[in-house]
Amino acid sequence: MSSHFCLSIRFLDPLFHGRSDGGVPEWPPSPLRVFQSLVAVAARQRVEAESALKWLERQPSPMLVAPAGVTSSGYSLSVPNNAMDIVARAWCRGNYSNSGDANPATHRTMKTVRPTQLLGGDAVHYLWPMCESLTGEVCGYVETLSSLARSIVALGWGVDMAVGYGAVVSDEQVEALLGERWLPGAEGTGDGLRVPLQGTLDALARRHERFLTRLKSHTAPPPLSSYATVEYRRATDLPQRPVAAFSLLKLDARGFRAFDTTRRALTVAGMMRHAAKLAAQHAGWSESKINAFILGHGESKDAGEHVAVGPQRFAYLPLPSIEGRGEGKALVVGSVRRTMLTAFADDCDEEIAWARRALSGLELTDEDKNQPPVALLSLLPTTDKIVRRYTQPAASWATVTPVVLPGYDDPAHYRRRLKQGIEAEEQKQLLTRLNDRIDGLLRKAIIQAGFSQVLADHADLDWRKVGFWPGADLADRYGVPDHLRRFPRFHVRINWRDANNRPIQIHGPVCIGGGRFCGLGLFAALAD
Amino acid sequence: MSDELIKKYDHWLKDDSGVAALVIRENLMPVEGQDGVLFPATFAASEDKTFKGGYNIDEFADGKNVCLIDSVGSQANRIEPLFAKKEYAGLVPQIVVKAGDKTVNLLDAGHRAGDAIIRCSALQQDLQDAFKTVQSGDAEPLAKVAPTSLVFGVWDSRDTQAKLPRLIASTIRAFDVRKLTRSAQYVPATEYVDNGLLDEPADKKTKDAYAERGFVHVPASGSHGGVIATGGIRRDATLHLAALRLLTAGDVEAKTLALRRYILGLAMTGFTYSSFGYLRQGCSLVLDPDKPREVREVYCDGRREKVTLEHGDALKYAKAAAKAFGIDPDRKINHQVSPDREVVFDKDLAMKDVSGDDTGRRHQTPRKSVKAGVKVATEPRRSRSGGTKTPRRSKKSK
Repeated sequence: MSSHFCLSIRFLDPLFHGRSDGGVPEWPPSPLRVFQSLVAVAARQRVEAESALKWLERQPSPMLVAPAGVTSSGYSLSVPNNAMDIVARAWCRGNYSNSGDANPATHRTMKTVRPTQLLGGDAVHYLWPMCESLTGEVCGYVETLSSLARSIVALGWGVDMAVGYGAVVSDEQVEALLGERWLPGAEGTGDGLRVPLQGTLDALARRHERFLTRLKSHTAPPPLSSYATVEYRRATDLPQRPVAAFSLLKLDARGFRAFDTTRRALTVAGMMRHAAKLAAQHAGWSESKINAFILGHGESKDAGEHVAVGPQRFAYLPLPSIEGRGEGKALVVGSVRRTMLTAFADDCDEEIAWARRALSGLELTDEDKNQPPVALLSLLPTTDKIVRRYTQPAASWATVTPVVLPGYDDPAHYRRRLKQGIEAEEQKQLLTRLNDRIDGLLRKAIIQAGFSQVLADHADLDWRKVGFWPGADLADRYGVPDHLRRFPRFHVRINWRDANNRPIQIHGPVCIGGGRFCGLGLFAALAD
Repeated sequence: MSDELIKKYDHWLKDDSGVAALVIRENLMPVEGQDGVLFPATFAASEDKTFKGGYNIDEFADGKNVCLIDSVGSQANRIEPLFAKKEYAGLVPQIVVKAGDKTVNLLDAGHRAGDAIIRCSALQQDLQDAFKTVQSGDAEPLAKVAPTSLVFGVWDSRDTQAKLPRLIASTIRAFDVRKLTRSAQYVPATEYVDNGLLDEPADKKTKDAYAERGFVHVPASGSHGGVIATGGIRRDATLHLAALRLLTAGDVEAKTLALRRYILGLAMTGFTYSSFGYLRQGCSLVLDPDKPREVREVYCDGRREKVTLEHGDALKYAKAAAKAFGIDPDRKINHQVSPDREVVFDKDLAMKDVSGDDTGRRHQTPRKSVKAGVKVATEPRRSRSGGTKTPRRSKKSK
């Protein structure tokens, strides 16, 4: 049975004011904050805790269990500058006009406050897995850290009063903790949480020293840089998919080469697939891997029937531009000028990284028609505005290409019966059944795309033939692969919800349904 | 002095105490009745304009909402001046700074013992020494001069950088509020323009000036009309005992205990004080007679247990603890006799403090100031978090 060192921080008022880079509200509070609060206690108490803290900074990133956090509306406070000396000098000069320097209210500044409200609990638990056996030395460290935790005063801003408690807990006890599970992922992501690493304690000590002497030296202490940034995601969330994004350029690279989304997006996906195949052959990939990972064929070349390979393969997603048009600059779906390559499975980072290197600069050619190249691939950063529209975290998404349902929506031929002039009550029943069937198929498609059952069960779904994005065409007009033509397709809008029906932000790309590996059923984030 | 009384709360002060904090929950209601309209604090718009200004009401997905009636800073501003009132004044040294004909009580200084006005007085050296001893683990000297800085928190941002966390916090919120608006029409005493008392306004500027001065009819529509709290109003207050236990008076245990008892007495007095009542025009709150006040001990492991603590008991304890700490709570306040003091604001010290060096030449770092045209929030009157701004560069004169 494995165990964890659990450090629980309980907020006395269920609010958290801490912010991450750029002033964005941070939730859950980063492990580095907790580490810093332990260091602060050790310094205040003047206890010998260096070895224990250094042990903690060497541990792998902890799992977090935290209540749901909802960012509240910010507001501004008027706070005094520490400048009453200026007021007093004016008074000493006999200036009691209560204006200018003589008015204390003049020496104030505005401070924006935007706390995160904690829902359904007040405690955040940090769980470090006890990889090593509990030797006397480790037990000593845990005891020291638990003792420090009991003197934690606040986490976040000074008003975020908190109490701490540390203990070794079993898997069963972890299971019983209430709150959302946040799992550590890859290091080095831009918008992850800060985590201590070896050397953080020393860096904090140096920074504190510089802070104390900042007035004498007239320089602000440099920001702390000795920490890691680790991607954290809820257990219900998909890991953030790595992507390789490319712009489609004219062959002389003088501008974008645009493809009509309705008629040609599928062709772009096909050309991407072909280019990837050629690049992989050139790179010496085995035939079986090319067949499976790039082409999506589980069967051998001569076999007649298609065998699915599962999610361990490339997905080729042509990206229609989402562009502002008209006076109000309303967002409209435009032509395909970019494309993205990803995989709907974990552990494909290496292949995506390879694609990023190998495909940039390649020409796109229509494999079947044996025609000259039509576009040039050029690598794009993931920060590209249009690419972000497909990858940024958001709670509401809508399709730019229709979702092909993973099954028939009308196996009992309800639509045929509806045309036969039946009673209103029966008509209502049949329509409800049809709706339920489509709803079920969409939720099935969500799970097939790798999302959790919780997300599939609680997603708020709308569907129709007409697009939710202006500029999107009727669902039936989009080109689809021959083997998917018989399945119905719809434009879909999803509002993601967690188990408590609260809006939850999901990272893209979101692409579901039968044609997801060639870019059908692709969603773009609606404005947050 | 009763020995029993002074030892009554020692179990909260010992280093191995499991009790991390005390919390109070007081259910309140408007004086007009449960369904009465009350006026929450209004706030300026956030910098990014996502909040347009007005009441701070947070809405949740389930349709519920929470409205901030009185913030932590504002509540602190209502509690701290308590120690200047006659019944409580003896609990702390009464220190005033005289600047010209005006005097500023230390209890009113925005940044408490770290405030610039205090640093530019004869108290400068005492406080610098006190902050330095805090950094070396002895908070007793600071407690002898400015004990409320230990209760409400302080940051000596313009000198030693010593920081002490607040021990008590209090907030008042209303739940599930319905927001109201109101409209009104200002009617001038007479028709100034029609009666030829004023000229017809020639342009918009003049028209606006007439409106501002009350010479023309001015309609006001859709302005803040208060809220009705359908889910109740509550004051939540916290006294952080774990933070209090970080205070020491060097290595002498007896002195540390006396210091902690004294600060606990002050903190409990402020913590149990009914900081509601008349908050602002249209916002008078009283205790809900149907819902008793709850005081609980919060343990480090999250357990919460009921405890009895009344304001009268806290005050008695505070007086006993103050006496044991060497501050006679029943003394007659005399600013010429220790521990009370009146110090004069020293212009020369201020010049040196403001300047970047001893020559009096000022550094070019611009000071933050309120943006022109920004409507200052009605609340808090003055927030004193003790560390809300980057201090101006300054060099302490020797």
